Amino acid sequence: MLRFFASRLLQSLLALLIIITATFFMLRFVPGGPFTAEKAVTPEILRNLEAHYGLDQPLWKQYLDYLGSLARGDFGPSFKYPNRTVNEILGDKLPVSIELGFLSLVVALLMGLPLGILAAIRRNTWIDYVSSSFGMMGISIPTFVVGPLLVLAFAIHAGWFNASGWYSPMDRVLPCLVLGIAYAAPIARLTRGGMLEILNQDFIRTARAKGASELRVVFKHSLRGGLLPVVSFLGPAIAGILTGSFVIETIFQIPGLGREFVNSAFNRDYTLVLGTVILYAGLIMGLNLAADLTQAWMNPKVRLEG
Amino acid sequence: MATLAAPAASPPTPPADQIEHGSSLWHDAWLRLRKNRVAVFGAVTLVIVAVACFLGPLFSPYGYEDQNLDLGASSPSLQHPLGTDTLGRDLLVRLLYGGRVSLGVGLAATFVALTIGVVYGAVAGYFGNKTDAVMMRIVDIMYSLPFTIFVILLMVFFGRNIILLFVAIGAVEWLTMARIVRGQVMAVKRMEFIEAARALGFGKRRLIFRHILPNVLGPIIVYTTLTIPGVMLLEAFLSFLGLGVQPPMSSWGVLIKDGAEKMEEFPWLLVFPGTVFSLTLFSLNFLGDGLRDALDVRSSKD
Amino acid sequence: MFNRRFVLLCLAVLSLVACKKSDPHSSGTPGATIPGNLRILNLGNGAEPQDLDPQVVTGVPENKIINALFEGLVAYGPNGQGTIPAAAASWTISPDGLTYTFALQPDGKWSNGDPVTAEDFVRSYQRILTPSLIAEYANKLYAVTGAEEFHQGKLADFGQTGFKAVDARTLQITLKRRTSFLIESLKHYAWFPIHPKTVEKFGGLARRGTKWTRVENMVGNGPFTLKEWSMQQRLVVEKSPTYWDRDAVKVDRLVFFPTENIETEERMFRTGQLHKTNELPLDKTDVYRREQPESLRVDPLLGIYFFRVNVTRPPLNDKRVRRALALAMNRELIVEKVTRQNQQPAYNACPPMEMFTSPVRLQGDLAEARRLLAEAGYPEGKGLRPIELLYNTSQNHKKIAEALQQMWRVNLGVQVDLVNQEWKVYLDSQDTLNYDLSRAGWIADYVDPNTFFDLWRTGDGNNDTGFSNPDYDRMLQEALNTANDVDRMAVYAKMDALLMDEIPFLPLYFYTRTFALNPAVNLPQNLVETPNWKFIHFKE
Repeated sequence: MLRFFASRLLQSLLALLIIITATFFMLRFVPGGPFTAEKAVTPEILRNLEAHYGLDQPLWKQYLDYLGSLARGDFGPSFKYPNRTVNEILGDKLPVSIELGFLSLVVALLMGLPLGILAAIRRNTWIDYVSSSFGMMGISIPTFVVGPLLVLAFAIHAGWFNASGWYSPMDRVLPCLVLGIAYAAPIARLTRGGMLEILNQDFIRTARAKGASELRVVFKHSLRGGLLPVVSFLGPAIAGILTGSFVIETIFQIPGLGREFVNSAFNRDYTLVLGTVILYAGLIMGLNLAADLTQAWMNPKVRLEG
Repeated sequence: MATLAAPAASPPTPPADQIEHGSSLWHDAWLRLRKNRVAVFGAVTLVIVAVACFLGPLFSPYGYEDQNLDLGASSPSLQHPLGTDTLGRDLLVRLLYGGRVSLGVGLAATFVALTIGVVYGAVAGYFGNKTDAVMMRIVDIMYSLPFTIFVILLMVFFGRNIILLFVAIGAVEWLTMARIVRGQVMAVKRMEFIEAARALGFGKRRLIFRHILPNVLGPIIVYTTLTIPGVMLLEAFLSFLGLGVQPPMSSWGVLIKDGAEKMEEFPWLLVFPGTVFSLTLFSLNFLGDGLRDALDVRSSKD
Repeated sequence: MFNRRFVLLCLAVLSLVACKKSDPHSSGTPGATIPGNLRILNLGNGAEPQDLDPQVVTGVPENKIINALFEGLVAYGPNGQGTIPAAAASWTISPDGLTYTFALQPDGKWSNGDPVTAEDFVRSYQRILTPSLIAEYANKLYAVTGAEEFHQGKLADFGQTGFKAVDARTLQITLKRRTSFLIESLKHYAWFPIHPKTVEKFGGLARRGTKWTRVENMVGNGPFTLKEWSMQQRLVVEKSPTYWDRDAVKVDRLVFFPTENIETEERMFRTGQLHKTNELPLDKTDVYRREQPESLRVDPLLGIYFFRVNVTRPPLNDKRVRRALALAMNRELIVEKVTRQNQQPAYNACPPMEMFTSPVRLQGDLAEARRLLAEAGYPEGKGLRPIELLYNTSQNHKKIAEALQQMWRVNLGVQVDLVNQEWKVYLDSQDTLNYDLSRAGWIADYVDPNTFFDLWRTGDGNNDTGFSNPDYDRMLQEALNTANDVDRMAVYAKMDALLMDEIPFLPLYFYTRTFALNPAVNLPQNLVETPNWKFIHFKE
């Protein structure tokens, strides 16, 4: 187990290095830089700005300098927000994203898992169709429609919530609900699919023949195997919720990482893009590792390799 | 216990129409699918939508770009069955043209993602060890690269191009598929029947493609039906970035996005594209579920 | 997996989250009265401010906040127009128009109690002109003797520039040439003072991006002080107890909300979270007109919406083709049916303002346009390659572009392809002249026609069309050197005529600023969106 862990860690670090390098150079190839602006600056100013941020150095030197500062834990200053460092910005936004992500995931699991399990055990009955349709609606109605709809209904007409913002606990409700619904749908469908696979296996038939109650059959015997596809999906899904909630954060004006992930690219804020990418990559690899471990635990047949 | 009797003569040949032909997995699946009413309904709906999108505009007096600024946005009427948008363009025609783009992109990009993802995931899952580690790390790397920058780069270097749209979308969607397939393959490859097949001497390729994959088809199909709506909406996001269909051409994703912003003033701009979009997705999913059920060899139809 | 322990853990985390204290600054209800009957104004402010250093920032959202925290020598009057004393109580101009002497307010104070002195101003100007600060708006001070040279590093001694502190309360500014709009340009924040001791404490006077603008460190001389700055959440300023004119300030607190999504902002207004939005979605304008006209504000704004033409690229290098395109645009239809925000169709280069209403108007009808196109060798558009129109991602720009695309197609037979580019790519395409037509907008920096005409100078960073005309450049210099305002306006009129003859750009309309405003708030109009927060308050 320890060997597995250590080797995965090493692989992840190597992967991280590749990601940093690729992103670093990709950023330099896109047109427009951090200082390209509508009201143009004079060439001297531009030159001075570039010198100040070290952008006039040869590219390989900038790259090495950046790696050096990374090793010290310093992600550099933000280009777009001159008086803030990337460390600060990430530090401010990560907790928000984590909270949003965690709560949304809880909502998604609370809605999706029961729906999927129900649909599987009562397959092809009206319960199946209703919960499947529910799930389908969650996927086919995009968040940028559900969000404003809920705001219209509950914030504007009913007046129960603010239209946007992340100030009081009540402000958490609508965004997490919308994001949760969006993820509940795939979770429900994957659960249903996974459970169906397991429920058709012989050992389930055996358990039933032995007189096990339906509840026992479902929870004790099938869940572990049935949730396998969900677990595989959850890894990237969690990372996605944490950093890909761009639409939700825009609609509800939430100061999270999802918006920064996209906006920093638009602003060509090189250091912030790299900071968010590194964070995201670390998260992905960590979560995938967790997903693999969970999978191994849930299905003893999958031995940990590598 | 029966006594040892002399072997009987070979049984008489039944009449031709009662001979049972040997059946393959696919043939059985097809028969089962046909019986699944919901799945058939889904398939039929899809066909209707597709035909409408490709042939429908021929029957309309309006082009998708014909504006009527004086009219502006108007609710459904005799001249415009689905109403008009804020520039006075007929919504029905735009919806049909948009369907071409969305269905085309959705299905093509998903197909690409599916092909790459399944093969990649299967290979990684089957071989395990170092191969798996390297392949999955590559997936992790590609997952982490900033998509926005990647798209902008594509746009810059290769211009605006519908093919590029496929590339960009496919390049992102196959990753999760690969992960799921890998997980499933790793679970299945240890099952007894695979060991049996290996003992029988079947080669790796045959094992993977003819024995393992058909047994992991379930989650793959489910995930595919989940991918397609994502692809269609991703196309809307890409149009937002400048890659994707350029106005005045539109797609369902763009129509829905536009409609969402105006849903209070001009609800038909959201309702119609949204309904068609959802209907298509429901159909795809029912068809997908039907396929999954049909292909499930252990499905308890008793 | 879903055993009891897991469920308990979830509940524990949830309850922790829910226990976060409700926020005292937020006001979910309109009128915003919170403990102590404070008058709080909630404002939608567009993008998150990049920084609050008046000598480093360049944007409009920052402008609004900086005008609350700092004060310049002069400011806009109560009705949003004219000039009233601000940090300077009075001023005189020498007869030759080159020396301005300002008497500062006798009880002008910084937020930490220090008096505002002329030396503070001089050191502030030194700071913005110091090359290492890399101030992008340093060139706004170039009219002053020695400023440009000092900024370019050619002059080492700041004492030799035209900025002088005659005594503690008297500031003198000497120009190298007459600039009739100098007083007007002093209202821009590039001319605002900073507190030198505070700035020096945090890394030196001329270092960029230091922490002196943080809440705990910030010192300003304006009507408000910085109370809270939560990035991407809100920025709160409170009435300053040391401001010299504090009795005139009738609001206790301003809360600036970053509102990047205008649909979200409009919803915030409707739930009462905001008293004023920054913008209003195009399609909502009519709804407000119909249902809530008292909440709708459509203010004139000095700005022009136009399309740059790359005059170096055939066939657009032919003046007749450009003119045909310009004449075939039905501006009235666009303004009435597409944008619907009372914009004024533009037939020249500069919007009308108090001192200048241009006599120039682009003349010609559709028949003329067709004739020109045919004369250029493309009768009914035949033989003309598709022309690309570039615009940056935005619903509004897309709508306008689509309408124009159709007009050109139907009226002239010219095929125009729309190209939507992401913001930086779009800017870059313009800078590198990699486009045919490109949508653009220009808002005035100050209330004077010069800001609309110096764009088109040869090689100006904001020209971006390849347009170069020595006569034009000459007239621009001439205008700057003309003492008499009437004569100066006459020069601008000639320049306008030249532009409408050469057509390096296609004018579309003059901007308005449309936003939603709670009828309980009194907000005077301002042509360049620079608010004087003293005069903004709740109606009694």
